[in-house]
Amino acid sequence: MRLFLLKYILKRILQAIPLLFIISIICFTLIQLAPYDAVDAMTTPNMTKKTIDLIKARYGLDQPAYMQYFYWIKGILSGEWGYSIVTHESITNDLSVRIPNTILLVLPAYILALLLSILLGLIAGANKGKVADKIIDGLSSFGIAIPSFWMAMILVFIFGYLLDIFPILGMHTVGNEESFSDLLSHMVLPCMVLTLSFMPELVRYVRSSTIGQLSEDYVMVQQAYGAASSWILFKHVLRNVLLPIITIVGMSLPMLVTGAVVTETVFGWPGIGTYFVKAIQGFDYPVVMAIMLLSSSLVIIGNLVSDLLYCIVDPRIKGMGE
Amino acid sequence: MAGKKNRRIKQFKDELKRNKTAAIALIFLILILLISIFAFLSPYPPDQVDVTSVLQGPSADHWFGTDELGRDYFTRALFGGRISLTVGILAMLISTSIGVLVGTISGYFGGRIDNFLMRSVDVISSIPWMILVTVVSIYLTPGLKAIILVIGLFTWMSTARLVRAETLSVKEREYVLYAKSSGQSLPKVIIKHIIPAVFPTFIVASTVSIANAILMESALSFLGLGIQQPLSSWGSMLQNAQGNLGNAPYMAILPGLLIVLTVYSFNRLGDILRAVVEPKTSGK
Repeated sequence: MRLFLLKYILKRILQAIPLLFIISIICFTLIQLAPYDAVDAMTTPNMTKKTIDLIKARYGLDQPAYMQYFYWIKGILSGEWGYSIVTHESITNDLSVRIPNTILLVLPAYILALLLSILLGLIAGANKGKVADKIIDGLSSFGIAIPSFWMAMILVFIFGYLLDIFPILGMHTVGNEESFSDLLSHMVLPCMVLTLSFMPELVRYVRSSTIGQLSEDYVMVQQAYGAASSWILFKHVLRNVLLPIITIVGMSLPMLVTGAVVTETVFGWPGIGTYFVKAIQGFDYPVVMAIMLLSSSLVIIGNLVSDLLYCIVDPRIKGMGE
Repeated sequence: MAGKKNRRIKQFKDELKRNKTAAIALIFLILILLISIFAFLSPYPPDQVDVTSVLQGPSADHWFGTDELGRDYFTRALFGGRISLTVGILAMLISTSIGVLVGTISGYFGGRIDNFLMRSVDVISSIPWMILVTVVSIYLTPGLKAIILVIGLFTWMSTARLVRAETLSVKEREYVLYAKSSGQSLPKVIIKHIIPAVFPTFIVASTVSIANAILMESALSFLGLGIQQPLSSWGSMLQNAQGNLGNAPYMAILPGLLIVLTVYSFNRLGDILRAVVEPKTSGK
């Protein structure tokens, strides 16, 4: 049994590697297609032709494209992600500042959304067709249709302009960078937007999986024994509903980077989303490709992790014996 | 075939009678289509600048007020709806056509072709849509055409997967096997037998696809990467409204509500169509 599991894990990892490889080739090709020369990011206008040639040789930019690809991959793997052509800053440094900022928003919002969704989804699923279900399900199908930036604008108007209780821009008040409570109050609105926009799909998922579980035989057996319905719900159904949620959590891994692009833009939050949008607007190709490579790799790794987690918690997984 | 169609239409009507919100959603969609088409009947031209009535709140003259150039906001929202719906519908046509094409070819031929196409779908799906669509759009001149193409060309993957699964089961049915063995040409078998069989899946996928395309367009335009001046869509109107949120909050209400209601209605329509097409899986 153990061997089986190991074999499956190995097989899934081997499947993910070519995918990562192809994605990296696509990113590299797009950089090559872009109307700019990578050396521009490292030179200044008053350098002589000779110095520029030296820099080119040093970074392998005088080599044919496939050799450059290997240099590029080597750099990516050793943490050298290249330089922005607009600010000439190291992308690795920029990312290491901005990714934690985004995680600071996305992680609490996601955890809160997950907890609330499990609760609401269970309530709706257990009361299928009744008032509580109609309200929860109705609101979630409405929620799916709400663009997150519009929700952000409404909340900014209500809490920022009308009631004036929360700041609406950035991460800190100027001159108050060290204060933790100041940071918290800046986090409230963007986190609220993210939580509300993560919730609808999660609620729907928990609801339908609760409904599915309640029609299983073991529930009927419990009912026949006269168990209280709330006991069945929390003791048995919850456990089985939580298992598949692990897959969803795994697949949400890339959200830690790209989950808040629009929301960050509305609130001017200095995370990866604003960094990306600025790079797109300024045609900063190396930055754009770095984020594309990073986020797609996270999608692939997230899918891998969720598959592996699922087969560890539920070894009956189909297709293991393939 | 005709009898089957009539039965479906009848089921559709029954479903509408049973499901009040779905009926309202359908009426709303017809209404919004009509008023976008007949937007030119409004007494105010959408680009008429009027410096004497800038940023006025809602009144009897201007139902939803005026924007920072004194243009009638209601009229602009109607014309914005034209753009948003055009993007939604055209992007849906491109995306579902590619999806159906790739899905049927993949499912019908199987083997290497299937493997190649489905691995390509995997690769494209592993790039987050927001990143993919914006990256491709920097290689194109921004505007209406670019955004339709970008959304259409990179959102067909889920349709392709659905249609492929459907094709896999349809191609083993007797009538298809018979058509094949009786010497009908390949394109004929696909067009006459496979495509009609996957058509219901296609219809359901297309309503959801319009809803998603409208949401994507609004997000991109809001970020300034979509529809450009002088054209405006609901998303770009909201981008504009963001700057005036403090003094003219009403500007944020109308385009946002229109997006929410339109997307919601298309999703609802998709739900009832799904219930008609796959009665077993609708979970009712």
